Amino acid sequence: MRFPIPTFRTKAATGLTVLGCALLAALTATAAEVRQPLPDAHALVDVRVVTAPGEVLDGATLVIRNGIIEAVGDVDVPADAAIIEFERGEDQPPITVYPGLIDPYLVIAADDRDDAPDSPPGRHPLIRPDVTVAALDWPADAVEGHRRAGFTTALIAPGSGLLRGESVLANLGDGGLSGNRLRSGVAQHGHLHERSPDNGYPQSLMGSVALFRQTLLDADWQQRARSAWQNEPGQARPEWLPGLDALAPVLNGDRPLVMESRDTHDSLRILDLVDPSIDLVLIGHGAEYQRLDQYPRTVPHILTVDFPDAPDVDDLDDRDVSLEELRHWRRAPENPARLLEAGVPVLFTAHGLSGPTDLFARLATAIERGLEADQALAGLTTRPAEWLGIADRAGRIQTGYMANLVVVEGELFTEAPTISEVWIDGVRFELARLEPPAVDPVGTWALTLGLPGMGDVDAELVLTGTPSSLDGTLNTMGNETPLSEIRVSGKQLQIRIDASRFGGAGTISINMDIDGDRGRGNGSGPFGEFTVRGQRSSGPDEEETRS
Amino acid sequence: MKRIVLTLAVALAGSTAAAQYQPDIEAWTIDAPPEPQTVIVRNATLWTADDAGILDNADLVIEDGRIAAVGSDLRAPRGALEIDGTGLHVTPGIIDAHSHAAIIGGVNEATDISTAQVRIEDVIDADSINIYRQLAGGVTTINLLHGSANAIGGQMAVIKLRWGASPRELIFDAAPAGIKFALGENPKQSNWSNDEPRYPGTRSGVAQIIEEKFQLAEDHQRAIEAMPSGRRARDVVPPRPDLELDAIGKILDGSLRIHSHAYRADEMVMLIEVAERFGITIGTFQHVLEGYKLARRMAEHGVGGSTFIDWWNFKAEASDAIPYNPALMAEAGVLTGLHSDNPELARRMNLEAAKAVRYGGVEPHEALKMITTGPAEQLGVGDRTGRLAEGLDADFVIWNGHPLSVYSRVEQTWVDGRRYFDRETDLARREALDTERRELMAMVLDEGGGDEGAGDDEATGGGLLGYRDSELAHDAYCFAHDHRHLHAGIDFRKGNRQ
Amino acid sequence: MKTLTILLLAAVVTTAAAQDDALTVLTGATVHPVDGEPIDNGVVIIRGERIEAIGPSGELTGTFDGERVTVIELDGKHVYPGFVHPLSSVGLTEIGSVAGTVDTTEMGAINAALRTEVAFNPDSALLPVSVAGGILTTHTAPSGGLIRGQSAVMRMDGWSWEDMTLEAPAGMHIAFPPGAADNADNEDLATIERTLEQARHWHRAQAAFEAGNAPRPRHNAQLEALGPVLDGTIPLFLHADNRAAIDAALDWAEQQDFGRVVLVGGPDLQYVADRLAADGIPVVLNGVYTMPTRRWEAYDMAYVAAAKLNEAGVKFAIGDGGGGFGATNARNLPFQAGSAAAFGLPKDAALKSVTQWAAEIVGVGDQLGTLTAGKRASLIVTNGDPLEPMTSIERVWIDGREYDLDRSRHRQLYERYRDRIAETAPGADD
Repeated sequence: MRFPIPTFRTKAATGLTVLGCALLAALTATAAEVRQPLPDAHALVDVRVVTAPGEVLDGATLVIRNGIIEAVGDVDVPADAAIIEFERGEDQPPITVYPGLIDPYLVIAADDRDDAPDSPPGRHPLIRPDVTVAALDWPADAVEGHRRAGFTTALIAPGSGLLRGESVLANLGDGGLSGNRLRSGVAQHGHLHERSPDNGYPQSLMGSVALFRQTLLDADWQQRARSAWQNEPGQARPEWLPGLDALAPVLNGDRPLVMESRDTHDSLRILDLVDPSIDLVLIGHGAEYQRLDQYPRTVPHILTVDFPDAPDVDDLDDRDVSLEELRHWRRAPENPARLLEAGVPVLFTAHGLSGPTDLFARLATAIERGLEADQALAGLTTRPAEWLGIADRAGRIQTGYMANLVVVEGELFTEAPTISEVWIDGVRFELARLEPPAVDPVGTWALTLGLPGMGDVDAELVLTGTPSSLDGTLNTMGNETPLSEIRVSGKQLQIRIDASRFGGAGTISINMDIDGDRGRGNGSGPFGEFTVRGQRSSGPDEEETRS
Repeated sequence: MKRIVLTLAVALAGSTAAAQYQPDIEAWTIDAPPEPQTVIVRNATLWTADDAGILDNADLVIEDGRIAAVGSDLRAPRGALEIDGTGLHVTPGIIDAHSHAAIIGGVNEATDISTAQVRIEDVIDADSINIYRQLAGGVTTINLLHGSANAIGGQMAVIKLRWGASPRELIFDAAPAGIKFALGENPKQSNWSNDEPRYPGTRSGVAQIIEEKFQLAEDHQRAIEAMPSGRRARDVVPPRPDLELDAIGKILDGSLRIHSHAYRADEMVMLIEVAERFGITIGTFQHVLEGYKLARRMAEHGVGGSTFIDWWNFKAEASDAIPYNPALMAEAGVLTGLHSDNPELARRMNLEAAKAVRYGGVEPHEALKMITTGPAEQLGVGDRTGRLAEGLDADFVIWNGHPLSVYSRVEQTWVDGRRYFDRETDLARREALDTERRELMAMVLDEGGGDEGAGDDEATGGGLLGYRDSELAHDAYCFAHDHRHLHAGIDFRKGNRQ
Repeated sequence: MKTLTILLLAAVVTTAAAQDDALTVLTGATVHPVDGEPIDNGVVIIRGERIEAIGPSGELTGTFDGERVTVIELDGKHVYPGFVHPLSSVGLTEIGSVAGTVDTTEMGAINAALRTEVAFNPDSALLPVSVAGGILTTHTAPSGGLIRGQSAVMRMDGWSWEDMTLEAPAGMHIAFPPGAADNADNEDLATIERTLEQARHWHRAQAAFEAGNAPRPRHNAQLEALGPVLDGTIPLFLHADNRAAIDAALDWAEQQDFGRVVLVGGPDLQYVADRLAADGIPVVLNGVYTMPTRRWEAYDMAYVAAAKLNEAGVKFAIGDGGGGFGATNARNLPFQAGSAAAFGLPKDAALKSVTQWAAEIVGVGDQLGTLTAGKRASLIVTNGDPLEPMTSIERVWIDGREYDLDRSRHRQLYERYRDRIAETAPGADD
């Protein structure tokens, strides 16, 4: 177990210059300066505290002890507590503490590890209800990225197959699954748009639906058949279908079935397919405002907020701009408000966004288009806490609750909130400040990575999108690797790559200062630190001239 | 950045209080057209597609979504919606017994030789623009069929073209269940190569596998029937449920009707012979290109023939297809219909019927029956739609001229006594849609012109833009499709499999 | 033989009559010359392969003078010129799924030297079926690559492609790369341009050689074949489907300075109608029976395209997409024209779009497309409007000879099984 190094009387403004300090710390865990436990009592003083949606305390003190909120409000600072005070100028917005955000849908590629067992015979490769999220699946990258967006808890769900397996609820601190697990077997997960590998059955949506339906029948049959055979041994033993026992609690209504929905028709299809006795939850697609009257008010929706970008319009005579796309572009930000108006329970997720921090810009748009800010907060705190059965310990800032907090300079639901730190189980994670982008790094970059003792390695970095919403890949030695995070802070480009793609553990991070078409910086990874030099061969301007 | 906080009032679902039907390119925006209690079409030429034949200067009365009367000088209560039919022709709504025009996520589950467990009902696309465009061609009911990749394909769905309704609401509840079979080159995979060849590879093998599946289903059925009832059942291991064999079992008990893709006479005689041995009657042969060669045998068995009027020679097994096939089948007493198998062709089925007049001299009124009464009866809904007769659903089309003339246009299409297509309304609506599009584009331009590359419509085959996959879906195992013409012309060697 | 009471124009009465100059006189029908008003109770006089005269029976005066004359009485029937298919693969393809029977699509990008007519199968089963549908002439083109090769106008009846070829090369076909619409650096377009530049160079060298100023350039069949399209002897058929591609293709053609261009495109042609009219560029509209280009467009977008072209004054022929599957049903071409007439195209323009204008656009307007003295006697006899699918085509003449419609395999099978069904009727003697 590691402990953070408490920083007394931190000036938030000084911040930490090294982005991803937590990550570097993880890579160099042995370098902790103090190895023995420190007093674990803290007091955040003179802060604005949003204890729950719509409930705000100004100038409050928040006391944390042993990972639990001890007191909040106009309370005394315990004598043994480390006092955490934020220096604020007159014109600076107040430091605001929110309950830590809960993402009810963080998808990982569970059971895709090299050491994962092969499907046993008799099992369909898409039917994996007994897959669980194991310690080795811990998504350290995603956890870190989520923390940066103020998430402190997430439901981590396996992400492949028609029936994908069981999710685990965990806090997002350091220490892996064992250090953060709240509850296993929270929900069963599914998705109808999967095709069998190797051209096997099914290869169509209707085939996937039929297989899904057959599987639920089989699971039910397995319970009945086994029970009959237990009762009466003098008959042929029924074949045993591996994995399907995990569906028993779903069929009995004891465990939610969370289905990812691709579009309106997919939602209607799932609602038709799944018996009302099953506790169904839908991962929304963002166009629920279409045919909204068809959605029962009893089925909660976990909404993605990846609103579409505006379609490309040359001029008003451009015939090739789709009216349907224009409409959806216009309507999509209203979707959350419309569902809430209609009485459908709504939770929010960062799923589907290019990065979790995009969440706030999208929610800010949704708020502009009718969503109440308190509803946005509730959809990320109290409501998921209720759904996940942890409303008595998470989702609010209240005595006895887990000390899961987000500290923001000002308001959370703005286009680019300044989240300065999060607390998870009373452990403080200070985040580097992000400055507004001052450069546009879009384009193709030739990178030279100077690795100590290994010489130079060439790589190609391809970035698309806009400075506030980037996508990209790193191509090296013929491999195209997606970037797990890309951001621009001021003039610095910050990217992260899942090191397992290169056979290592953890993350490779690169920070490069950009000056025109040149870049210079450094990076770190499981193999140590390295220097980075970059040269852009085609930039955003050239992209534009193409059409 | 400038933000526009105004919400558009146009085309919002349920936003218009008035029940004005606003046909739109997006089904979800649409409220069902109102159902006037009584409608009377006066003084039109009525093509009844029934024993009454063609009635000149006649009236058609609709009440509560049903046809209340057909005849001359009829009365209608005050307040009835009156349509002056002078110079116009009225026919029953067209029925297309072979369509793939609104199927999401693949028309074929091609992986196994039998996929009886899959259901088109699970994947109906209520937003397919084909629904509206086919209404504009006078079609009111279509049969959404699984493709022809396997001997026993999936279960079909008969839908009424209620543009705007949900998938479930589209389903024509009166239609008996049916399932697709396929014989010949497609199930035996003659025209493409597989890494792992699939049994069977001959027409004999297709026959054998069908019989084998029938036998397996019989055994499965027996095992289910052998289960005790009541409390005793709890101690007996039940047979494992099997959606595939359950479906095939329903074929054998007559509750799931076979609609079999077939080209050659030999394979059709085979299926008739196998069916007769199992005591069942085949619903239809689909395409039935050589139907004229076994027409008497078909009539004797009682299987309908649902055919293209003039597709031929696109495969070796289609070389004896002739456009006289419908005339000859009808002559021999086969219940004959014409189908599209193609969402573009489905927009002018009246002209397919007209070709039956050219090829074989079918009387125009009889030819019309091949796209109305004939397919209605083939689908088991002949007592609900397909004719202008008292008591039937008010599914009808108003034409501006002779319904089989190339120069005629559909003016209105009614389904269940509701006007789902009206050319006048459509013309008026275009301007509103164009204005809406321009306003939205202006907003995008206001915000900087949109994202280069984002939401850019990639042209699909034939340069079509913005279509949903389902709208261009076709039975990929039928050769010679392209997107633009859908069956008009493609180099087959490009494969074009889904 | 009946006594002839028909009086002929003196001018057309000649004395000597070789076998090939036999006279055939069609009488009693309504004659539709296409470029003029229909003639009730008209007469068509055919001498040998050609039409010698047409006119109302009363106005044709003169007497037969010992000639061998066949008179065909067609009371109540209609006579029209045969349809000219403006762009098909008829003759090059048989069964779409059987590769061995298909010669439409050569491999490679540059196929300028390909000649269509040499692969035209005179015994294709598609020919009699097309003829039975009134298609008496086809402009057949290859479809592989960027520069696709040379098309040919073919008569549908004959013993070998040599005697069926009416015009070859009829045009050079280039597919404008769709990707070049919004990308000036499109590689395919660069390939085409490079080839054309090389061809211009080759022909300059050849001209220099012919003038005695330079040595003979080495043979290059591809570059040599491009000569006629570069100097305007034959038209360029430029294929581009959507509006953006059409616009770019027109710009490109202007820049390349081709002598004659025919644009082959989809219903988006209507959006560039004014430009086409102003530039005098004729088009092949492919076709009426297609989906609207954009999902959000009106359902009749493709149906109205021909009417819009006509209103703008563009000369056009209606095609059907021309591919392999279309070839088997080339016979449906006239119905596409008819359907365009249901959506605003005047009926006479609809008829011209598959006869007169099609013939003119493919370069045989002086021989075909109308019933005009001096043109080829390729005509159809119907019981009604030939753009109507209900109408039957009852008799056909190609180049002055009556064509036996029973050569269609469809008719043969029909007659055989019609008899079989009649024989096996319940109650009939078995």
